[in-house]
Amino acid sequence: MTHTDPQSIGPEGRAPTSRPTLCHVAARATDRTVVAIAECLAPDFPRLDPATRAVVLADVTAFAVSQVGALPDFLRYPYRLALVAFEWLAVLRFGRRFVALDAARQRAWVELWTESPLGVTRNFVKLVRSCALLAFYDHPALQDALHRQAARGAAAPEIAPPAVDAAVPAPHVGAVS
Amino acid sequence: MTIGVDVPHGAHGLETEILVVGSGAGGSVTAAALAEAGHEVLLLEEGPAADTSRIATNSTEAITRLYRNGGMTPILGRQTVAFVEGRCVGGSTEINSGLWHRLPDDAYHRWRADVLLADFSPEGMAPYFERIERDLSVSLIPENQIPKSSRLFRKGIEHLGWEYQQVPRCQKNSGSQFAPGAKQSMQRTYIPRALASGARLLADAKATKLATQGDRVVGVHVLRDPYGARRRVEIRAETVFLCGGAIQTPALLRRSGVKRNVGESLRIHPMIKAAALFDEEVDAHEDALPVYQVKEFWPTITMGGAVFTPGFLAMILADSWKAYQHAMPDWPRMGLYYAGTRAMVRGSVRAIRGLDDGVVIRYRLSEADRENLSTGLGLLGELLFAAGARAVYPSLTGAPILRSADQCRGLVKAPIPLGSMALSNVHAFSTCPMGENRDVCATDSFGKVHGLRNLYINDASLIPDAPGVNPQGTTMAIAFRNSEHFMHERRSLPARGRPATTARPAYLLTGAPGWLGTRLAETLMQGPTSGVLRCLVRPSDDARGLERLSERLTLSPGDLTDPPSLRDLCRDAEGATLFHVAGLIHPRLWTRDFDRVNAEGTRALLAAAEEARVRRAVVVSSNSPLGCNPLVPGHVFDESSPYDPYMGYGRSKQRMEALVHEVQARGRLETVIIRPPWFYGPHQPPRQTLFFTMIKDGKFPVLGDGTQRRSMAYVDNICQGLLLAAAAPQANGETYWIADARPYTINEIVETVTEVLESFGFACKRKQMRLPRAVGEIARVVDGALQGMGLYQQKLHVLGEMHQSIACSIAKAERELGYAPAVALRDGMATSIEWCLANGHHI
Repeated sequence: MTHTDPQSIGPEGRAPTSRPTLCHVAARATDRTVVAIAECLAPDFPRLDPATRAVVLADVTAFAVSQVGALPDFLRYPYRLALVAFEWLAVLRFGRRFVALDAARQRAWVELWTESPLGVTRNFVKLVRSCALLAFYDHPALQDALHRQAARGAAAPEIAPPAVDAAVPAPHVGAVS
Repeated sequence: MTIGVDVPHGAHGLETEILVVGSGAGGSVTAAALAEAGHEVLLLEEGPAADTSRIATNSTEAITRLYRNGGMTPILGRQTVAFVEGRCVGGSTEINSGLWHRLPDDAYHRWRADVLLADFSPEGMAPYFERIERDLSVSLIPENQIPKSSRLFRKGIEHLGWEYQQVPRCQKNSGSQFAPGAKQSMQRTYIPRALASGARLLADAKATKLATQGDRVVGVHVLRDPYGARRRVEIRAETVFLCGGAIQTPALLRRSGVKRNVGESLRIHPMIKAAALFDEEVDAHEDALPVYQVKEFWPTITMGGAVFTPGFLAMILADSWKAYQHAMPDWPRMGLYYAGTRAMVRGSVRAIRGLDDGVVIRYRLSEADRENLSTGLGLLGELLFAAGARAVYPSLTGAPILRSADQCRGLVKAPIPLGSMALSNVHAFSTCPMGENRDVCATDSFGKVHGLRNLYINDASLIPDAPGVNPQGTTMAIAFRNSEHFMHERRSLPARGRPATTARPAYLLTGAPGWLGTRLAETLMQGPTSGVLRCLVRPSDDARGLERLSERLTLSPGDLTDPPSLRDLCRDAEGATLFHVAGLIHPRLWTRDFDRVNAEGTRALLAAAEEARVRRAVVVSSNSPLGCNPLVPGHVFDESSPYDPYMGYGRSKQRMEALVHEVQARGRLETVIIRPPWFYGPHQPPRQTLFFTMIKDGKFPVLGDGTQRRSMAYVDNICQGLLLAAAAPQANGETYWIADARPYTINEIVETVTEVLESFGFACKRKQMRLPRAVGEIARVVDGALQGMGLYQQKLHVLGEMHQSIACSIAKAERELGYAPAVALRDGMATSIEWCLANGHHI
């Protein structure tokens, strides 16, 4: 997988101009939020050694950032506003911004938005989740791990099936047929 | 991929003969066809010139670099649909699965009926499909290479006894079927051919707006964004082809102020996906291209296999991730499938002012669409269980895992709420439909944009409705057809400034290849005379039929609004007879066009004719300068009746007659004015065919008791009058009414047409739509108010006349010219209907 470094893509999914503007600075700030959400949503299966997982997560988060930057203008600006809200509303609950929380609290905050009765908050998380899952499972290192797992045969599942079929939102990004 | 051109630093733009905007299926074919014919072509592409033979189609790298908006373009509506299209050199052909379908036969008939698409038949299109299929190596996958996920799918279909087909693909059948570069996308085929023939390619260049002057496009404003250093440049071109696809083409047109029937009728094929878990290993990730489609429920519902990667599987499961994620370890035993539908309603495309890439796509799925998607998903699940699936994971929010076929049948009985469906779409079309029905079409039957002389569309936006199959093949075949049509026009029309022919013409004709003009040309060429006929033909007109008439017929490119072209028409025409038949009856929007064409155009034409010492001009006027008959029983107009022009058209024709009188008074050119009323006969335009259709369907509005009278004129009768007026010495300086022998009542016209239609086997409704006269009066008042504001609305205008009598006497023509109309209503209508049936007009 050949990902472009989000810094070289620029804040709006495009190559940067020579002087950063206020818009660029704001975009970079929200990119940090996207990175943190994507890291929260990266699955645990298959298990990877820490070094490989770090490489994979770097590429996954870069992909999520580039995808948010690639949204059409009329969606990207509201989405960045929502990222700001997501970042700072965490202060009301935990006393700190989202990116400053520990991993457990970050997961809890993302879970809260994912399970919210408001469709808009569920869709907000759904976008990053679908990007993260796609980039995660199509990463070359993950594919190697998946093939190793497949070669071992039908090992005991590493993810326990849920007791009940719960409701989780669908992303609004599409796969290609 | 070689980039053929760049804009030099410091330069403000480029110039070319033909600019093709967009390098996808339509643009590449257009560029190749035109470049190979020797035209100077510049191919413009918004996306990068990334070599797609080095990028796996479904990788995240491809999504980042080759997909528009990273594959996250939303179609807004009751439920958002994710729309995926390419944005790179080669367009969506670089990222799709390369499925190949010919246009289904039913679409030909439907489009000819719905949008009056001319010259469009399975037989006519077959050579284009065959040529492209050879060029793209369209073929079926051999049985021994069919993917396991597809074989399982087939097992399920055959178990249920449903109809299905293996879909051919554009692919080279050498080595691995799925190796990068095996798919015959535009980067592998037509773009290299275009470049080899001298075309230039400018990538990373987005067309933001058309530059227009009057009714011509003179260039395109372009935003160059190759390495972040944004530059705005202008590319000037003699002719522009827009091939940016069904979303970007209407967006560009609307940003440029071209909005009539543009972006109003988006059609899509939304689909919903599901993952299936089998007992055996499927290894779908090794088989990138599923091959079977279920046709049992086509065109409403189609089912097939979707491309599989672990990442795509995770995205499908992400819709209910918490419940479904435990399935990920079973990924080698899973496959992805879809159910799609031909959505029923029409969506829209809008450009956001001030944003170069601001495009809003809306599509409000109907209840029927919801039911079809839900049924499709249920049927898909049933099929997958018949194929041996253990579980099916639908792409639904909050849905349970499907564990049996019975559960799937439940989805058919109780449709799923739209809000829980995760929908995607890869096919979009119909945003600039082509056809002769100007009420709904943005272009003519060959992609020429209405109202602009040198602007063409050649992409999926032309497709009049959802064909129910992948549109790449149809788009490419139409692009080939339209390019050839364009070139034929060019070849048949000599360049401006050169004499149209070296032979001295005996006759000059304006208004061909129009209705009356074509019939007059036929009459002249079939008659005993041996003189050359030179016809003024607009560059956008289809003049092939005219050309075939006779070797004595030559074409002169031009337009009544272009005085130099009128001088070209009249060059070396001393002693010739000019028939001025051209005129504007129904402008697109503005009434000012009446004067521009009918009065000022005639002034320029007669001036050119005087200068060239043309002997006589026979000028076709109308009944409209005299308006409608007064409410006097049996009143008919004669040549001495006073002017009382009806609306803008009538005033322009009155002015035209005044200009003819002025020329007559100067004494350098003989003139005759002919006033034909409502005419009918072969070569009729679609609006006249609509008249037949309305009568057949019982929808023709008869205002009042239907006893109001109408003089009508069969085209052969008018031609007889025109030839007599051209020959008779005593006609010089005179005006004549030319029509059928007597006026008819509206009831008589309707009854006659009904009987003739029935004699051709049409089932006609005997009862027409009867409306009070007041409806016509209201329409007339509203039409007058609109025209007072400079606006024209055709249907309103026609309705405003329907309660009036417009009857004339042909006594003077009979007396002085020896005019004797040979064809009466019944025979004339029969000939008209016969012509319609022979020429693909759907009644």
